[in-house]
Amino acid sequence: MRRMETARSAPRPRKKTLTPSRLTLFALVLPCIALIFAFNYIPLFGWLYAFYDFKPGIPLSQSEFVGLKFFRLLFEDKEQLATVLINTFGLGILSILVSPLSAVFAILLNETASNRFRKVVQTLTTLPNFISWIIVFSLATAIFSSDGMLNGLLMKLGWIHDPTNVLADPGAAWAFQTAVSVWKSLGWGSIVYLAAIAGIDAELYDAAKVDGAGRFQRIRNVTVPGLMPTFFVLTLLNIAGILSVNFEQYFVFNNSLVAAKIETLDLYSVRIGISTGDVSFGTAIGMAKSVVSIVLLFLLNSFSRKVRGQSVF
Amino acid sequence: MRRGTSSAALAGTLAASLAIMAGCGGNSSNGAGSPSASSSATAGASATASASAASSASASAGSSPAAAADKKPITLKVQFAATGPDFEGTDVYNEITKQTGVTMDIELFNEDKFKVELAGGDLPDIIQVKNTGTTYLQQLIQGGSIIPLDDLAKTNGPAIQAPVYAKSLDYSRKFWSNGTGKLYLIPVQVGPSGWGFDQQPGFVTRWDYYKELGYPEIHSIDDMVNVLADMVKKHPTTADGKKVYGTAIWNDWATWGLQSMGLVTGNGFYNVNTGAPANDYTDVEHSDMWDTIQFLYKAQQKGILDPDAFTAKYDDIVAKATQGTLLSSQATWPFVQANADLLKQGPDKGFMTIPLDWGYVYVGGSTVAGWGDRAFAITKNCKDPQRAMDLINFLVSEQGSRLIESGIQGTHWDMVDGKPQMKPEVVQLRAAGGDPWKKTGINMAANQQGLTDFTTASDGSVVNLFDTPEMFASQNNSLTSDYNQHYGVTYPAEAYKKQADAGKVKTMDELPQDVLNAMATAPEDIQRIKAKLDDLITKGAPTVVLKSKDDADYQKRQQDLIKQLNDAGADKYFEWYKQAFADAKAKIEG
Repeated sequence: MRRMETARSAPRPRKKTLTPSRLTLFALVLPCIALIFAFNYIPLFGWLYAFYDFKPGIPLSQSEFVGLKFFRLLFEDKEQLATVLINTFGLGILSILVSPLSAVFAILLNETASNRFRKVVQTLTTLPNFISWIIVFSLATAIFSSDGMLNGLLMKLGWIHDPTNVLADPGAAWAFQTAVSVWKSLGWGSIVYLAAIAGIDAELYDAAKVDGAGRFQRIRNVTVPGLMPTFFVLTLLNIAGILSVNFEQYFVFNNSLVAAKIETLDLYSVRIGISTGDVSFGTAIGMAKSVVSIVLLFLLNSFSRKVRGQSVF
Repeated sequence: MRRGTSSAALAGTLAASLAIMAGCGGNSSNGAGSPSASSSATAGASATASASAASSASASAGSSPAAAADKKPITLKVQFAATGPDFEGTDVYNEITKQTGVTMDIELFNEDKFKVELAGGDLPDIIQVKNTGTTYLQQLIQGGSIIPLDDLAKTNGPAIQAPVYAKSLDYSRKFWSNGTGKLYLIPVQVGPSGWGFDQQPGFVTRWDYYKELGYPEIHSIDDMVNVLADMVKKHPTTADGKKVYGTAIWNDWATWGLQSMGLVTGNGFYNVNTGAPANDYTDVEHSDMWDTIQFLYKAQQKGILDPDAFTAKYDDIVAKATQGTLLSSQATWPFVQANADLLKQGPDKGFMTIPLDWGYVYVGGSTVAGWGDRAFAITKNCKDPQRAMDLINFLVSEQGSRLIESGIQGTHWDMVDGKPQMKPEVVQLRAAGGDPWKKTGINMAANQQGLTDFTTASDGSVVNLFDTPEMFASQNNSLTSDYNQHYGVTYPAEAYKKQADAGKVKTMDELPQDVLNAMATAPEDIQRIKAKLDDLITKGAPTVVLKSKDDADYQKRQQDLIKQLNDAGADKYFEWYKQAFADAKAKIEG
């Protein structure tokens, strides 16, 4: 042990020469770098459009440079901006609040005695993650719309006389969208936690057992603390992505009744940029969103570093 | 959804018209112009007096498109409005290829896709420009995405050079050239329109239920709601126990559904009742939007508004109509399948348009601009503009228009005693509908034909040979016969026509289509206001309709929404609209 510490305290000087093995490693990472550059950095060129009065079909070189006009426009319509920000943060915070459900689900699965049952449940709950949102929307319509299965059943049972339609209920929009999102992502989200549970030292469980801990106590004192680092990193990343949550979901579930409740920044950007054809304005909205996201990530990261001593970077 | 049939075409032009009335606003839907089609849909009637007069100029289009067939075969990518790839392989499609030597690789117009293609310079060889209410034409010309057609029209457009097209080309150069005076767009559906076999837009409801109520008179929106409420009272559920509702609108054609009551009342941005523009957002008395909202509110108060009224898409409405849970709409299109099913259950069961003795009926009119939102253009991407012009020339020619609406001479129609007549077996095929009829391709490309159905061709008959009195007789079934008998007419549309002839109902003859089509493109700030106003009223209408407890509450909510609209610039938009209308009118008249 002492010898190892000595070895650590005096690391060998790094070789700076390019060896074939180093080149191989670099070659392996190169495609990833290229992909990230191609899909995450090159599109940033598009931000340029937010500063020009761009109209599709007319080259950017012939478009008028308007500086921050569209950013000013964004802040001029305060009411609209407030609505979309409230929706974005509201839905985002709800998604953060329900994020522990995946961890809870993973713990429950892990505690299931029957291996076969666990596998079946895991498969069934992971499956929705691979269903596209448009199919989820069709399913939800078939079940929850006024002439859907749920209303049909409740009316047949005589429990209700007039059909309900949660898809068109602005009061229930946030809760319903969050519930759909949980249904779709629960199984998938639990995979990371299952992996984290598998990584917990089995000796800790054995020790707890020897100390007389029951199943619940083992969960509380071994599993949960073992999952916390993973949970915090994921939550941190989720919070940073709070402004970008589930665009496709809100896009397909949008209708005039719930629009005021589920129009998030992304949806607003698409409505202005694509539907209305105001490309530059739409880009400005998207750009503002990215800037806020980055600021949010840095703030939370430093906050986490100070409070818990852990951070993403 | 089938596209391109006469009902689809009518829906297309309806949508265009509503867009025209709206003046501008780029967020209209892609779905417009695509209702399910009916084999028993428009067949048309003998042209009205005005239509006949207008068409007397005749369309002796002097084309010789057959010459094009001698040229080397070529495939061109075309982007058509309301006509999709399902047109490919039909008899009419194959004949177009045979006549022109051009094989059309058809892409259905989708506005979002079009925008992406426009931005990326990936437009197909030929496009139809959604010109009304958008800035696309300006962008296309300014960015050099479409080419001037003046020279091509001379060398490869004999049909376009025909006298029937002269005014249309002048119009196109004057109003659709971004001030360059060049010819960029070749209009479609130029000429007079007339009464079809049945009147498709209007107050459509269950005929047998209406009969059961004793044909109550309908003089107002209130009466419409009361009639529907009485029907629901007598027939609260379908045979399989599903709850029946009086009405609903579809919400995927931008503000079309919200404006649909204007098809009955005549209110709207251009108000046929006053003969002047009206502030559709805030002028409650003259607004089609507020007419619709009032109708839906009253239906809600009576408990007959479908709970999905503000979320349903067109296909949902068709499904509801077919299931029998919906009793009315402002057009016959959703009820095609329902009518086919109901006819099997009883001779007088089905949906018909009730002829009202007030308001407006969406029919008639004549235009040199044609359907302003789908004129042809050739893009700079086209490798062979001459052949593209050959194709456009054929489609808009008298021969092409006749082919699109009536099929191939010798196969679908014949000259009998010097008069062109549809073959009886083709008439039967149309009545039967289904795939065999679809295979003919007749009536599927109505959005691409140059001359209207009611234009008189050089052989003395109208372009659409189904639009003759003899044809109407062959189309009546037990339902329409029952309807005809009640109103003392020989074909259904004639019931409304009688009201129009008596001057009780206004028609599209009073709609200055050419002025509306010539209105300048709205500047950016006005377009932004329009988009905001449409968004506000689309989101605000459900609250007014569904949340208002009583009339007083309705008035309050209405005023609240109007205040929001005014705050968002409704007045500013209307000022622009009025000025743009006046300017266009002065130019047309000058």
